[in-house]
Amino acid sequence: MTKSFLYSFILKLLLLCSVTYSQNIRGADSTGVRSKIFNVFSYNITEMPIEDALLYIANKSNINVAFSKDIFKPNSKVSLKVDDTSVQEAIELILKGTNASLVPLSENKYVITKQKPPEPPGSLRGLVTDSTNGEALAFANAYIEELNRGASTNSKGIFIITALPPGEYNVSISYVGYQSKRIKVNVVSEKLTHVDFRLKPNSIEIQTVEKVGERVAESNATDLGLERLAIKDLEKMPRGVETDVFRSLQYLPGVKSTGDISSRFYVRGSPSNQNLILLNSIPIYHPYHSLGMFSSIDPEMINNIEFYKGGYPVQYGGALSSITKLNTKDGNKYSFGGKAQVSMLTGKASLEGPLGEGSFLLTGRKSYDTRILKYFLNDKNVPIDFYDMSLGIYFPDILPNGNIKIFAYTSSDNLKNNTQNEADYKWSNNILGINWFQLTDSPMFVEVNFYYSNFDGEVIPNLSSVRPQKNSIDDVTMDVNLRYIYDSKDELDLGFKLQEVRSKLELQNYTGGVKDISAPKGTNIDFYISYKFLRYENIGLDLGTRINLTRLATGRKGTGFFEPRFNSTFSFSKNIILKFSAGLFTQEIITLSDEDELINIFEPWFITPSYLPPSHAIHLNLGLEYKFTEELKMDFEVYRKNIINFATLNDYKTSNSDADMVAGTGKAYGLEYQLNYTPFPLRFHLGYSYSFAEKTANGLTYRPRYDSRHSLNMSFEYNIGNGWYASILWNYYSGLPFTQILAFRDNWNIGNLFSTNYIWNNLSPYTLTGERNAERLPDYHRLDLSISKNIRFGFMNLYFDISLINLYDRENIFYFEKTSGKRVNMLPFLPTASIKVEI
Amino acid sequence: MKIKFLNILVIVIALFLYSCNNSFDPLGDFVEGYTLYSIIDKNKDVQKVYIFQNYMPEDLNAEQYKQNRTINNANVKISDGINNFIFTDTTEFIEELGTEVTYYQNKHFSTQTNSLNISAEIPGKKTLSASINSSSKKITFTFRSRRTVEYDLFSDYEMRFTDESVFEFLPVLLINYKLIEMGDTTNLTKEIPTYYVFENGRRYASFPNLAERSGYKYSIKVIEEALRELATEHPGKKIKVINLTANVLQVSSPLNIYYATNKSARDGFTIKLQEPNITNIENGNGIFGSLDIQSVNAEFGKSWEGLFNELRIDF
Repeated sequence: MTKSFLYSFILKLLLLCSVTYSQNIRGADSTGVRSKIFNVFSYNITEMPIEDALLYIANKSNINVAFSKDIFKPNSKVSLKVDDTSVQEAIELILKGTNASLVPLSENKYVITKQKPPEPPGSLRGLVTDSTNGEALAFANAYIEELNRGASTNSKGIFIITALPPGEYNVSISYVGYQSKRIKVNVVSEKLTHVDFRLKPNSIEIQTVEKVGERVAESNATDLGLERLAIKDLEKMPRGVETDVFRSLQYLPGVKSTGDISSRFYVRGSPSNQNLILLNSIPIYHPYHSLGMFSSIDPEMINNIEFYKGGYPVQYGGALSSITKLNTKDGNKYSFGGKAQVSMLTGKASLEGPLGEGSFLLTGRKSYDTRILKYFLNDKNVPIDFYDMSLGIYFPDILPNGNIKIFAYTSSDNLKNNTQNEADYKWSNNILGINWFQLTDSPMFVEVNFYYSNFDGEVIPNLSSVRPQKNSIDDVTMDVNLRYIYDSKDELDLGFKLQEVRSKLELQNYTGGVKDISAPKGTNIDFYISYKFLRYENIGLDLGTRINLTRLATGRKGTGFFEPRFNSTFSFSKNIILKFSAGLFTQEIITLSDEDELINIFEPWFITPSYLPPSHAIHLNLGLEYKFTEELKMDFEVYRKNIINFATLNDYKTSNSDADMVAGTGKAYGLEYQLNYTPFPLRFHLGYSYSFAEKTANGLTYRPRYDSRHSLNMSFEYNIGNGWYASILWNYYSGLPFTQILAFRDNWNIGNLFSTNYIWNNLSPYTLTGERNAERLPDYHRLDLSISKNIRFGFMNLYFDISLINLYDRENIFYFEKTSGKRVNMLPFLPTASIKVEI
Repeated sequence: MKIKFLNILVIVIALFLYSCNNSFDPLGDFVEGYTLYSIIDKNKDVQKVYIFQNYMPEDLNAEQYKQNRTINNANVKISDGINNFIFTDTTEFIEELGTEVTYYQNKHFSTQTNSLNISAEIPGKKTLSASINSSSKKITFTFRSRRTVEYDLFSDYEMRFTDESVFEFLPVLLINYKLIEMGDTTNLTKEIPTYYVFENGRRYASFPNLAERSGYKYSIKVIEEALRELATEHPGKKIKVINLTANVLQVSSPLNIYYATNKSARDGFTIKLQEPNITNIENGNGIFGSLDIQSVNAEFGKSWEGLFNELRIDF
């Protein structure tokens, strides 16, 4: 207020003291003089002192202009040659490049004043939530109309936009399935303005078709290889027996499966054990139920998924291939609610509601009828019993601008045969974690995680000759992550992680001895630093490194290593964006995986033994995004991945003294294409990949089992309206590798060393094979159809879903039994259904 | 836009038609080859060698393939460095296989050294060969292993040796008994398991594995259970128990690995595409090994009389 009064006073004083000239000025020439300022004139001024030029224009147009001489630099001269220009425009042209501006006082009176110095910018922070339950809306779009700038919310529903000139702006927030909201926000200089945006969900009948995760006006985001998925989208796709988060990832280009049987996925030529699955930033080591057929993550607890298929940023470590970050819901903050659902495999329920100032969400799922699994496993009974449960308790604002989330999860599988003549198996995951997310008065947030993650697996042989096995991994970790956003829009990320892992993998060798092949305990201390240059509108650069002070297997100083990462984005225009990323990635917790096993009960996890160096991967990725229209977009990406010290099961181990694991190498390269077309009420997605993968171990180079050359996925989704929704999914990949049979020979199964004088009743065929994985199985393709209906029934929402799997009953080969020649196919035509009740 | 979609549709249909071919050939070019098996029991005079050739059934169903694939006319010999033992063809009809087979045997096998070399020359084809060290640890059973076993349910029968160091062996405890029927007597043995498990009215037995150890124990309770089982195995026949024999069976390497790998069952769910191939045969596959059994007898004490009477077993 004081400043404004003072300014006004000085302005008036200047007006009174101003000198008005009326004579002709040297250096000026004029034609077509008119008397009104609304009229236009022609001016021709050459190298004239600026004061003279202003007076000349004033005279010519018959107006009064007041100014103080000391506004201008001494002896500054101007030239102007314009036709048909208003006096105001002419003066503004003269003043261009000076520190002065023209202020109209009345019809013919003007004053030229010194420009106010620009005020320091302010920042805007927003929290976007669902108005009905307070759930954070991740990847929602925030857009400032006046500045054509925007941002998308992070997984906690937060967005921050810095470097905003002070003033009032219209901020629009949009999110799929919600009514967009427009709010006037006043951004104050040198302040961080926080606004809560509560979006109202659309009714069942009207659904918007905006793609979740699409960023607005962030053309320099360095996020190559990142896919964002909302669980709402996955629930609309054909679901097989039930919605499975990992199977949904398999429809993205670059992500492969080896068929209908397993929900394990393979990213860009890497085995599935090189994918790190994070549940609220906590690693979950074996997130599969039922021999890997289904994921153990109940979609009911998931809010959104961030999936990096390569070149991921420094915040993530511990995996060679991909990161899948599953962010859970917080629970309803305003009212209590529950859901119950039955599918042909499980029954599940969830309960949520307010808890003090916060909320909770409890989910549970249990298998009740496993007969449908027969279709998955060649008519074999799978006497398995499994469950999973989760509990999340969310405390918002427990600290000023800080919230805390406590999360617990457990899953258990028990495969118990009815007879002691067969082995039993059990495995489980247990997770407990605390997440503290703190916003500050500056554009910065800090996230602290403290968690415990455990996996236990056991093979109990009973009276069978299956060898016993015990596996456990206990991971206790604390990490601190900080992000600061500068006024220049640049971002600084700093982090620290302290991880203590204990692992045990006891195997019985052929002499009956039990040996723990794992490094028993390891400590990893690492830091990361990353600086994102986002100050330029068309260029984004992210440079950083992880600094591992110790190696997990040794836990000693001097065994550490760096993991540099680089991400960049060049925006050629609003429609064309080029992205590049490169980096070094390390994995020290591995599995004992036998690549010759198409299905296995569980893969044991352990710390890479110290006799092997840690496995490293180098990623190089180049991508191009092209936006034809708001509704039609495509991505094109090429990648190259080299794996060094690829920890691999030693296929040539024949004695106790041979190592269980050997270090191999791997390489993968390919291209991926993705097209999204989303005119309401249709959504169409096409993903294609052309890829190569190769592995070398024990001196033998071969194509791994998951190496298919071509892969194509197409989905059509149609919002019919009135609660009806239909989707069709076609999935194709070219044949997976297999090894040819060259001959059979007799194998003597010596059951009893006491009766070795008679061989004839103990012979069985042994298959002699050709070059490993040198040939290809027939192509795989499958068409699935899903129709769902949502009905509001009193106080309940009812959801019905029918899925038709393998609609045209394609006989996709799973494998062939090598000693009988019998062909075993994957899923036949299979109708499934589920019902969900929501209160 | 419509044209773009039309293009996509055409590509998809072409791809679909192309991918309709669902046939493939799992077979590569047939590879000729041979497999040799021979396990020398050092305590026996008669030794056998088996040689098979690779085969390929027309319908790929190897499990049902019944044709003879044994090799005849091979020149087979085993040398201990001092003597050569020539093995001669023997042809025999095997009922289980429904075909005649050929194998090779030597009925006067007695080596002077532990270093054994086998060679099998298949005329016009290959010569298979292998070498092993057939030595085994010489053991002396302790008194506890030789003592009379008394019927004390809280006690064990122990296989113990004077040298208590660890070595790899398979313990086998046998009940020696006679089966008498219509005046004919047959000598038989029954192996005693490590333990029994009862489930749904059925009895399941678990036997020891080949493993490194310094001794082995059998509980008297399990011996009693084995006798109860024996009593039900030959209904209507007279059983006369003679004694117990404790056997220590040692095998040469890599027969131990071969045996253990073959014996390890896979779970019923894991689908494995390729099994490990353990062989010590040059120019072929199979295994050449030796085994050595050392044993001691132990008697049943008078205290067992009550149980034998209850089970109607002669003693």
